[in-house]
Amino acid sequence: MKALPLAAALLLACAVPAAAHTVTEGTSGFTDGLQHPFGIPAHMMTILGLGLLLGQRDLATLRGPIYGFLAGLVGGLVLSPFLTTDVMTAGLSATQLALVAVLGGLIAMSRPLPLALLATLGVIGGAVLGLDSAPDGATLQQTAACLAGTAIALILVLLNLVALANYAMAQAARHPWMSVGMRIVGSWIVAASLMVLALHLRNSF
Amino acid sequence: MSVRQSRIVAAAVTCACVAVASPAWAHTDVGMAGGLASGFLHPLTGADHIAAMVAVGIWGAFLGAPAIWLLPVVFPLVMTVGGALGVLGVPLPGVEVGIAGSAIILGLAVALAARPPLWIAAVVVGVFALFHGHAHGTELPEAADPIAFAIGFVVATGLLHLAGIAIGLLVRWPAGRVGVRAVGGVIALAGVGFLFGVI
Repeated sequence: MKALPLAAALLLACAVPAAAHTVTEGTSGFTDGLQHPFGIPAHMMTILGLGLLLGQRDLATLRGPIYGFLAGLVGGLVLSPFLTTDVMTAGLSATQLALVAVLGGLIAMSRPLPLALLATLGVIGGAVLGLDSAPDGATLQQTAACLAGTAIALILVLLNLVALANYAMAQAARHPWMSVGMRIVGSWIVAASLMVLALHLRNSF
Repeated sequence: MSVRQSRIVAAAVTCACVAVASPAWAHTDVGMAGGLASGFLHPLTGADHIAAMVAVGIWGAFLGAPAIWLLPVVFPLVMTVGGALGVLGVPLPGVEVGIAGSAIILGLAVALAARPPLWIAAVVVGVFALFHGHAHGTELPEAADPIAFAIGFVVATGLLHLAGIAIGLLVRWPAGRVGVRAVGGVIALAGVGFLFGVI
């Protein structure tokens, strides 16, 4: 079974960067959408934070937060083509960075949280990811295919992260470093996101 | 040597190798990959940063649980405050002195096997994290992809802590304890060198 993490690490190391926010000529919009979240660090940090946070809870209790994420994501994706002004885009970026910081902080604290809060974070997380995922200069058909690909990629990544984090928490009794490592990753997420948020605010004013 | 001891030594050697690895120059310094690479290399290109980060990890391991994980969590969190000040252009007096001082004080703490209450250790580490964060934050606006840069340098900082923790775990053996304290002494001496511009 030790081969699995090794294989996963090798696969990650071989990943090819995606061209974010564009539809590449000669490929389907769906493929671009599928790759889209992996090319944007802010999206990966959001999904990482959400996945690790939800994974700290018992899987049986996560129905609300997961459905909340799905609802927010679908709503955000549907509305994303209408997010056209710079002010709206800047506000969305700041909201996303602040959300990432909150998620990282909650992971680092590793305290039991009310399910309503997790569901709310799931809705907000899904919404900001969806709103920030519309392709530029694409036809309606390409846009729809691209957004469908993005939705599938985000859902699969989230579920995988939740499962991995949950596995780590289940093993924490025998291997305490697993839960400790997750808290350290949470603090890294806070650090990276808050500094970029500060830069974002500086550039905005 | 037992299997467990072998694993700890192997982990220590691996982390030490990661900490001293030379940078690769493949690909260009553009976009997300460039931001990640330059951010990751930023803490690794300053000997003063490396010494202090490793010392935090060693001291945490030296103090044992919960300091072993609390200090590496406190450091990036407080570093963020310094980083935000740097990004916003708020001057922090004596940044370079603070960074050199962090190597001296943290190195001495390890060398002297200092065991203060946890909150004092956290405050000491937190104060120095402000200076390191400010230095990182000042360079953040120049990055091609700021968020990738931030992720890169935070991960590199964490790996340096991990290398320090791996070194610190050697205190389980009598000879290792002497060796770890000696490493602390070397870091403190290096800090003096940073302070006076010798290194």
